[in-house]
Amino acid sequence: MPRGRALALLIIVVLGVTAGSLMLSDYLTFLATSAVIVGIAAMSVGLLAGQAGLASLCQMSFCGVGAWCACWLNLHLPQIPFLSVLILPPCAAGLSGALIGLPTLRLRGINLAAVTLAFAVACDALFIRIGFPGNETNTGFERPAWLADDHAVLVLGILAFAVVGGGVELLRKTKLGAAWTTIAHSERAAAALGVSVSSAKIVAFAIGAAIAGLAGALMAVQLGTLTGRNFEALTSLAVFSLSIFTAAHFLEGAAIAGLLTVMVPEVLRSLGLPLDLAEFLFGIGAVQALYRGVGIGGNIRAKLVNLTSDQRPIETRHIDVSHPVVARLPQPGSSLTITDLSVTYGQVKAVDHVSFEIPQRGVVALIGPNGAGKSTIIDAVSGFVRDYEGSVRMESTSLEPFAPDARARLGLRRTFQQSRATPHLTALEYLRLSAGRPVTLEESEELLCFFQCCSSHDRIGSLEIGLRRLIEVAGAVVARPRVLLLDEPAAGLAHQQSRILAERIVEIPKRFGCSILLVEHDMSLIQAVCTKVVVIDFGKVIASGPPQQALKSPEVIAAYLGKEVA
Amino acid sequence: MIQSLLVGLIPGSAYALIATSLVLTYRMSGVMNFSQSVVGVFGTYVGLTIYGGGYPQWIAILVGVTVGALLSLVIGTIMTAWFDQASALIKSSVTIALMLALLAVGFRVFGDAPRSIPRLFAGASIAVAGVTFSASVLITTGLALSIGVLLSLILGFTRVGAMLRAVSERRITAELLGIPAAQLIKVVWACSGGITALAITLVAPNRPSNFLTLSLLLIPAMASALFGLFRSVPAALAGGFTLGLIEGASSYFDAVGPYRQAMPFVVILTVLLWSQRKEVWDASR
Repeated sequence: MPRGRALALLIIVVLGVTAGSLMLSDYLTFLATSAVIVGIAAMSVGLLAGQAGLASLCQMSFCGVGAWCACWLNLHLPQIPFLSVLILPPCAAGLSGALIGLPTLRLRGINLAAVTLAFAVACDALFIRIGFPGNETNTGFERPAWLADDHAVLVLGILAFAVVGGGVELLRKTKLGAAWTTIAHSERAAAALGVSVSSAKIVAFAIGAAIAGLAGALMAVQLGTLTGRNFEALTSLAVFSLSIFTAAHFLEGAAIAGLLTVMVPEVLRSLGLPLDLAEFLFGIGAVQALYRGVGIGGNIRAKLVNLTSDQRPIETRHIDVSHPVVARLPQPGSSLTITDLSVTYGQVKAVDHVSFEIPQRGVVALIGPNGAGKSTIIDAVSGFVRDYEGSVRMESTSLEPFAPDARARLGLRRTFQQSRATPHLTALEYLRLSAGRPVTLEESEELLCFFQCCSSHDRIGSLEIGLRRLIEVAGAVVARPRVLLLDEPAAGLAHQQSRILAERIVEIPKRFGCSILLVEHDMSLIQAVCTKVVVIDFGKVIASGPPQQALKSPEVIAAYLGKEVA
Repeated sequence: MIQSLLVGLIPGSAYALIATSLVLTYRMSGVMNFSQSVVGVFGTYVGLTIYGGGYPQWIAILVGVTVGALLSLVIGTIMTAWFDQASALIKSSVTIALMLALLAVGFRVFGDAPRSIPRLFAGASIAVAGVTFSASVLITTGLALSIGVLLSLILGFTRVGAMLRAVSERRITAELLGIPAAQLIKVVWACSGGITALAITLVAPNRPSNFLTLSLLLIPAMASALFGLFRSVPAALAGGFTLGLIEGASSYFDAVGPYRQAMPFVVILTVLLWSQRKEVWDASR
């Protein structure tokens, strides 16, 4: 849906809901406010877990931090403008989120879940121990005069929900949002695209915690008096499971999460059923949603996208491939120089004093039997294996000081042996994330047409595996690299696709001004595209030179066919 | 001081046993089972109800352990039937949802008021060098240790153990070798449920016991299991006892006592940061 139309729709809905909310009875107003606050809290979980794949089980603790700060500000600095009560607590919660995020950078999946749950329990105990500001004197949160009416609080809540929701939706479309989606899929892939994984994760934690903190501050405004019971670890778990159930990283999912928490108990009450049945229903609902793989919000979003998509069929355009897209003057010397590279895993020398060079705009193939150390060389050169010996130089830059994402940003791009293109992004979003600069629709269409893979708005996950591999190569090329490392790009490609890929690889150096290191088993592809072949076996270079010559060397034949060299 | 350390042995045994069951289910199904302790509490409470009905204690415990095993078997079956291929995050989310659902059922059936739970081995005690060992401490510790050691021996040195390890490392390969993987996984789930129910029955008399607080034994147990990164039974045992002893010792120092609940967080964080310090990237290659 175009951004303008989405924004207009959001404003209309907010206005409608606000107008409607003014007519609610006091009781319903209270319920609706609670729903809105739960919706905001659910969004904070959705952002972390649903989008960035970080299982944070302590969002109510961040909520508590926000609420605590709001109470403190209200008690000790009543003269400051009210708006700061809505701004400062989320900042404090965001800071605490970043602090929790910092030591947990190396943790993911279940380990992260364990740490955050333990943190939630610790916070739980702390809140009960120290209490909330004003608890001892029995003073609640004092609202300013214009907020005295509960309807005003509800309107404030709806506005906050709309701002946060709109913000989360906008974030999803930015590079940061695409980076989170990619991190959830594969951190290595994100780093290979030049994304700094650590900072993206910390920012996710900070923003998620800040949103939770806002929900906490609103709770203080709504309820007046708070205790540690409002922010129990168990509530964090409930919000987590609810958010997964409703896919709360989508605006509509978060809204449904809020509505469900207040409506289900009400319906149960009116039917004369016990209220704790609600928790049971949520639990079962979440299991069912997880089984089907999408939450409620995800379903709605998929339908919306289908309704409003303005996809045109791919036009097959003729592209003039004779002109270079990147006019980069060849630098003196080699494009990539590998000197005495060794990688040791325990007792095994996976790579043993390997040295070779890739000339400017050259295509060099790195071949060898399975387990010879080809991918390890790629991993070392791209920085994923850090403790290697020897040196790797790109043009005149020594690469050792740089982490993988920094190497990628310097212009050293790689693809992976298993396709790692982010399935949840569209081709255009993927290219934009990888490029690190604005990419116009025109440019994206042209590039995708060059690789004959898909149209800009196709979701990568909906394409067959061969096309995903081509998109990965396109993603690397769009970043205007100096050196491109392709790890078995033709694996899993149909014959026809493989032929197209060979043609493109030949054209990439002159069109995009980069050199290529190609790991491949497909000999016809190698002979078609390479100027030089480096053959390795057991981590050592056993032959190198022009393809015809190197492939005929007796050592190479022995390595491939397993014959002893006399 | 030594007396307070001894007090820590009972919760230590419980942590060790629950941690062991967490390790078992994690290794077999790749599930970090958040519903583990709730399942155990269910068993314990059913046992209590039976005991309240006038049956002998050992029958009550036996029934409780069986209920725990059966409930765990049901969850294990759901996990293997529906979520076998799912990511670890999804699997954990499922068990969180199940934990919440079971808690709700637990509140409904048993209420959430604290219950007085009869001591298992009341009265008897031995005094050695001025330190009193009560029978319950000795029996609980002995039980936990023997179950843990027995499981480690079974896993390490028997044919069934080899099969279990094969299933946990390479499920498909194990199946191709004719190992009945699905059945074995279910047996492991049932055992882990039974062990957890037993552990909670042992520790319940010494705890402020309502349904929820007993269910939250999960957190220290998780911390204990992390000592062996959810992979090693002996390490989980050692972790459980370490945590119990630290807890006992901390009750001796008044200043730390109130923050006891924060301890698993510190332990988990330290253990994970140390063990994962080199895990810069998510998947291997």
